[in-house]
Amino acid sequence: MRKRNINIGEVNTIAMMLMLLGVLVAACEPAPDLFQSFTIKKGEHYADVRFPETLQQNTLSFQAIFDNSAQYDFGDASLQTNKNKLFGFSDCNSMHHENSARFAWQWFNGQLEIYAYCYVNGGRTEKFIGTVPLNTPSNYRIEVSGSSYSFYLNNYPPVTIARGNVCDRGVYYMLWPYFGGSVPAPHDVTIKIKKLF
Amino acid sequence: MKNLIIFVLVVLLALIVQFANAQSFSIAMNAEKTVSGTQYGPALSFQTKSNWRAGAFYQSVMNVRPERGEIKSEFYGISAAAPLKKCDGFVFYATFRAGLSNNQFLVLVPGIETEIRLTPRASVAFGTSIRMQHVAASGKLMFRIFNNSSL
Repeated sequence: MRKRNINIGEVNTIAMMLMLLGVLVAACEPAPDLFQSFTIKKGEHYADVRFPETLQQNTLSFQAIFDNSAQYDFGDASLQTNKNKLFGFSDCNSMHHENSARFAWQWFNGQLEIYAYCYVNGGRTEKFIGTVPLNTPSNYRIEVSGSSYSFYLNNYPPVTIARGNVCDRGVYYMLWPYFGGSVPAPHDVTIKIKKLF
Repeated sequence: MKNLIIFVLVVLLALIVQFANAQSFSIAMNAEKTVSGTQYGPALSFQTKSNWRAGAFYQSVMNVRPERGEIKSEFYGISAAAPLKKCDGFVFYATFRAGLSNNQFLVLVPGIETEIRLTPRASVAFGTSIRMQHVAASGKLMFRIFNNSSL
């Protein structure tokens, strides 16, 4: 049987082809789903436990998807209009019941309503922004400036709420989904959130 | 301007400490790929005889966001590195940075780093850390300006 010598050029060619194949295979890899899923169990207020996280830029921008579990009926308008919290942050070195900015939501009149929800120097302020469809990603953004929070939801006009007397530099910790108000989730509620940078 | 003054003060402090204790004083160019873009900038540090490092850094990136236009993102502060293992021209460090992002948000960044000595005065370092709850990768080119033996 004839023995064939392999030279360096052939080795290089094979290596190049393998690398090219690797690149092609990698290019076929499906894009990862970067949405994080939060499930608030029936009877609970909070979703899963998370590591503490802080805001690191003037803007909190994200997409969120509500599914059919966002529909509920307490049979009592005063409970039905309790605002559930979606996502936001506490302001500079403040506890969130002192100074914070969040998006909030409620199922009301057969639609999912989104609110700007803030604590300013200990006082609560809520402003209706718009409605969002179920099972569809919607775009949310909170911009914090020296004197105000600006809330952006899809193509609705922005809503602005005056900021309290807080420091400029410090810790702004994230506030994750919370069901209620005072009443816990009537069934499992799932929300998907994808932070945008 | 205020940021620049703070940065210069930190550098001067680092210089004073260097003259008092340090084995060497280094200047570095940093690049760090984070989830929100790649930040670049200088860093200054002094290093003790037992390879502990401390210093200051500044890095920034200009991001373009469709809804908000061009946004400059800055991160500056102090850094420290503790040697974990040393072998032929390699030093492995646990690193820690603390500083302000956009001159407003306190940020703490743990990480690890490998330094490779190329020459007695030059080295490169590669590291990974947690920025904005995501993994960030960094590269650094370091030059020792002087050390005790050359003073």
